[in-house]
Amino acid sequence: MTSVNKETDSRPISPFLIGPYYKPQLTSMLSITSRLMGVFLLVVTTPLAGIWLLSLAAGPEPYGVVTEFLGSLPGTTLCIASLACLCYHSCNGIRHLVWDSGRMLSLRQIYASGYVMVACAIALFALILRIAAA
Amino acid sequence: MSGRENAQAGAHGGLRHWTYQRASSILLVPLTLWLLWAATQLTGADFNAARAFLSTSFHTVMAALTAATLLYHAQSGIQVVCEDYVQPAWLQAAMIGLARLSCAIGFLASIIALYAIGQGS
Repeated sequence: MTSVNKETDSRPISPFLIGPYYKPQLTSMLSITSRLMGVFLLVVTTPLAGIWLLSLAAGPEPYGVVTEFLGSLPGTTLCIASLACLCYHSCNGIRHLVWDSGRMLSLRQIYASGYVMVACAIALFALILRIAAA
Repeated sequence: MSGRENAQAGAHGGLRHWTYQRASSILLVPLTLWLLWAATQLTGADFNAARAFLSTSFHTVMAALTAATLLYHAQSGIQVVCEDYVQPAWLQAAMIGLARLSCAIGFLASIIALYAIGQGS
């Protein structure tokens, strides 16, 4: 299904809207962050969790190798980044579900829910980190 | 296929995609809470403790449901990202295909791993 329309093919695709054409705002920044974190969750977090699970199935030696990496500085950094992405992406996902139900769609409410979402994501992140570290 | 038919097929596929993506999002609300809780319990757990945790039937079922829903959601999300940002069309289609294949393999691998953990083998 390749497009043969020269006119539509030459249109700029999404990333070029923010920047020279469109002033960065809270709304667009929160949105692109959510997408970037979603991509991080697929590209980094999911394989990491998958490798951990496979090592647990494989036996104590592979599990030891994987958990040793996860406990190292780079491993811990990836885990904490993954937790931050999961909290943010999930909280913003709930915000999207509220919008999809037709609620909270005025500009004022979109800004308000943006601040509430960031606060909830930080609180959830801090809570999980605290329980995990205990 | 004319442009009009193409647009209509796209519109129906789009509605289905949108609905399934929202369904997976709603399912992921409780599943993510479970995942976060499980992560707190499994952080720093040794081999036997991690195996004991994941081989209880409740946690095995939750892990399988989470893997299925999360991987479905992930390929559905990356598809939209590819459609929005990746050109030309062949590269976009290849990346979406690769994401689907990886998620399918990841799902099968996690089910096999969970089964092995449950059997204690």
